Amino acid sequence: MNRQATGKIYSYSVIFLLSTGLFLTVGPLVWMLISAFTDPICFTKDAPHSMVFSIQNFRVLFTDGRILHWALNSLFVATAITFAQMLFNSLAAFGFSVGRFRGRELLFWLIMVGMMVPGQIVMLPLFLFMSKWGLIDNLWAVVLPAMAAPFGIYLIRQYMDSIPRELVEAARMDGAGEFEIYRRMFLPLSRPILATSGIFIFITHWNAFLWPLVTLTSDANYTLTVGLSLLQDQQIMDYGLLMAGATVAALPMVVIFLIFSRSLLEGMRGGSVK
Amino acid sequence: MITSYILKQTRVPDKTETIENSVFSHSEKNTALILYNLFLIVAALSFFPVASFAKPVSAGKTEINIWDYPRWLEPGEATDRFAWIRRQIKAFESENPDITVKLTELSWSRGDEKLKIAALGGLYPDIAPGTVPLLFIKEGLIEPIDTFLTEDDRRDILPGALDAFTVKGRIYGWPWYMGGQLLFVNRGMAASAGITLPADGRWTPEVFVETLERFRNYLKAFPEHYPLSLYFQKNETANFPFAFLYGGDWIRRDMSYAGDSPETIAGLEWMKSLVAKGLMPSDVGGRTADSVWEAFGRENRVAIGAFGLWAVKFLREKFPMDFEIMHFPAPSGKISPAFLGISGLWVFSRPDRERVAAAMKLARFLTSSKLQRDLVRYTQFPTRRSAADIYADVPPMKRAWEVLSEGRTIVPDPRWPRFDEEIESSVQSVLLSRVGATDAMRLAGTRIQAGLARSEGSVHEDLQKGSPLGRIFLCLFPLALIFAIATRQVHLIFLLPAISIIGIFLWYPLGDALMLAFRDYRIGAIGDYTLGNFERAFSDPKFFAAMGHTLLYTLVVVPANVFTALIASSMIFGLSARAKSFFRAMYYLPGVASVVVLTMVWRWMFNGEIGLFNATLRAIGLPAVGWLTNPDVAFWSVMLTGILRSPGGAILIYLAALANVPRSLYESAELDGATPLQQWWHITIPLLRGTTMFLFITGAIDALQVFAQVLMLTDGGPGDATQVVMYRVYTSAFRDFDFGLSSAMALILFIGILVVTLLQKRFGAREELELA
Repeated sequence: MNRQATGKIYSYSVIFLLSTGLFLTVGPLVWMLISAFTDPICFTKDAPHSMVFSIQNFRVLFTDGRILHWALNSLFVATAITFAQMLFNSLAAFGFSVGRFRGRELLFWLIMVGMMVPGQIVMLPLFLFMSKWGLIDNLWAVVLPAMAAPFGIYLIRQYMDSIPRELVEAARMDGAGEFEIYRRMFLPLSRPILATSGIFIFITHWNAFLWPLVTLTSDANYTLTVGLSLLQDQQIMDYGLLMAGATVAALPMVVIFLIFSRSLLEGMRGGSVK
Repeated sequence: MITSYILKQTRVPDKTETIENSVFSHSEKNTALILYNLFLIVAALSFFPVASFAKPVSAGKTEINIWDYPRWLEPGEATDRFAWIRRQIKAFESENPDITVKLTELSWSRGDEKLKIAALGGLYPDIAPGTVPLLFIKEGLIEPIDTFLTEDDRRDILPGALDAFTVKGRIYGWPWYMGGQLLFVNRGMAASAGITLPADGRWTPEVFVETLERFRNYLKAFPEHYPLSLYFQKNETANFPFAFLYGGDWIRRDMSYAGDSPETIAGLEWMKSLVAKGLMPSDVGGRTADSVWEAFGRENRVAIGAFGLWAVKFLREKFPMDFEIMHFPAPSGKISPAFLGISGLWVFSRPDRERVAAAMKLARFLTSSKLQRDLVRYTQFPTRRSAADIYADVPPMKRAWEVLSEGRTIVPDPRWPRFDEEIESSVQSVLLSRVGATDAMRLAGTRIQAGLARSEGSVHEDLQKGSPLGRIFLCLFPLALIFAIATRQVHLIFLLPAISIIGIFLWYPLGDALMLAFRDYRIGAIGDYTLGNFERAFSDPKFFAAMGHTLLYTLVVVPANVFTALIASSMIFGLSARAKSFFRAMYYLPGVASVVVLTMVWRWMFNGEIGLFNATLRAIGLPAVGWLTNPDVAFWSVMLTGILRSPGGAILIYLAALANVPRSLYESAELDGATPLQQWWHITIPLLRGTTMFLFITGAIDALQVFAQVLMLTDGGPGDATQVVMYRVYTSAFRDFDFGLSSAMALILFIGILVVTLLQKRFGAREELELA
């Protein structure tokens, strides 16, 4: 067999294998879409195991006008957290990257320990804290604890560490203050990682479920994930409706991802971790 | 030297490249600009919900909060299961202009936990629904209604319903509706099998088994059809009457354990014999209420099943069936009573008496005779005599009433959920023939008895005091600021916002939670500093099962994920630029959907009756698999969701590392005649070692915390088959109110994670040394 033929077989089998893998990993999402667009009648015994296209599930979902309101709440929460994190994480990352003070690495490590803490452990003390400050049933109770995050600080610091120190020295010679160095030099230079981490913070907090569920108590303040969990009946699962709800929750993120995927994934590569 | 340089690039981007990218590349700049503009628009839009935060409460009005679960759909409503109560609240407000009512909507799946957390935090509503709230009564949070109850009320409300809310002589709730668990038989199927059911609806175990056998002979022709299916599951009492067939019980009214009494064991052995005779599916111990319901109501694969009263409504409307309600089998002359659930509205106590009075008024209004007539749409029985005739024209409800009027309730004790979990998982193991009935029930007994002997106390007051340590901790931040300014450490100031947030919202509560690990902190026992929590954790077989599963999950899922990522990225790397970016993006795509959403989809695909997998298996003539119900399979199903979780992030990291492997190495290897596979094995894999290690460690940290999948897919069952550590941590805190034990287990897990992380530091350091 000649070399070219082998190469061709090789590249076809690679594409085949990769597509199979894709089928397995993206499969659940596709099945979600299919179920969501299947007529509810197909889930009853009148027409078992048949597939009839219909938007009935979505029609039912959207007759409930609150869905839009919940989506706006999610939007607010995710946006506020994203902005706050981009600001506070980058400030801290700058401090860690440029600062030369005693205990710097110890402090950094202490913050990193936070990455290992499962969120459920701190839920109850945090709830008590929030209730003392009168923040229960307030979207800020969801926003405040997430305004800075160890992982974001780590990511941005990694990036900033690669900015040559000579630039800092030069700027200091020219009489720039530390904040100016941060604002005029480090912030613009870190743009790719900021944008990338920003999008991923947004997606994470759009998807958050347990903490908003515990802290938000009136339907005017529910986020989308919490609101959609109300669609379930006590005993019987209406899977079609549930899948339609899941689609509404997931679709905006998928769209954002597809639009920005190129720059996002490049930026992640720059940040090098995750 | 070169190697070391390159390997470092896998973690830190090339300096010059970075700067070029961000300063000179226009496309990058434009993208960032678009992103920022998008966010600005989004931010502007999101001011709408912010504005609706503050709702002014006009002076002179009493505001009360009521929490409720989704109920029935009113005619004309598509999804809103709160329309009825909202309408009633409006009517109430217009009758009482000085009272405003705020409704909070709970979900059935997480509502109970939410209510418990809120009550502990002192933020309970004024009115909440449910069966008698023993836990809250014990904590002194519920207002007795005795003084608000008129003579007319006392005469009108059924005595059994009032009894259900009576604790130590006082009544703690307004009875609202009454339901219970009944035995349903598919009459159409019985007719085709030529079976006539006893006309009075009563049968002895012998007649019952004979009927099942005749069903079996008829159903032989159909694969996976069974005469009977049961489910033993947390919070489900539907099948208890089968176990109590010979007069057994779990816990008697005098609070003595009876789960290992000869009568109860006889009932369990009887059920096991039904499995052995092929009258029930062999994995019946793992079946859940919804899977049995689907088999019975939707798929008609099961002839007899026990369900709540709600099934009457479904079998008449959504899944029409010719059905009969029967008594549970019992030896002649005896009854094996069905279990009743009596729900009411309870009012929480507070110092503001006006508010309590207003809440009482609303609770009474909602449970009034007139509004109880609407229960006909909910298919529950009213608790007032004057509304008792609402089912006059519904024949099955007559038999239901006959069965339920002989019914009984579970033992009224706030620790019941804990006992229930113990009992249900033991019964599951017995039915799955994992362990003998006597041994299992005796073991459950020793653990329940340990829980029965407890003192009195109140958790919520102590919890709300907070720790003095926390207050000292909070003072640290201003001090740090002063210190930073005094020592001219300007960079510390940059850190302060982030550190304050992480300190207040992570370290402080974490410290609080960890303190609890060393205190006895559960219902009925508060305050002592002790190591008992660790002792209890390590003597709990459930916790051991959980640790074993968590380890197994980590050892299977993490390598699987890393290796698929390695192979996939090696294949993607050699593709053309276009194909490369396509696969890279598509593999990442599922990562943007939340675990909650993905798990919902998985659960739907795993559904035993109509899920994708079993439907496919049946279509090609293979036997269906109990994905989530068979204890030997369930945990592998959970792991499958973990394995097929897209390794998109790991692929990205590998691709970045691959880009840094110098071409020259491959070129010289090719000159030496190495095949591509040899090149991959001898060059690529060793050079990627650092990255692989990193992925293993971060993957392990995630995997050790596996929780959401288990909670949503199997709820820890069947038996102990899918217990994981985080699940124990969560449930012992928010279901059992045992915060000490929960924190102790969390601490053990945390130490495990810390060890893994230190391993990373160790290995990371060694790698640096080798390469220097």
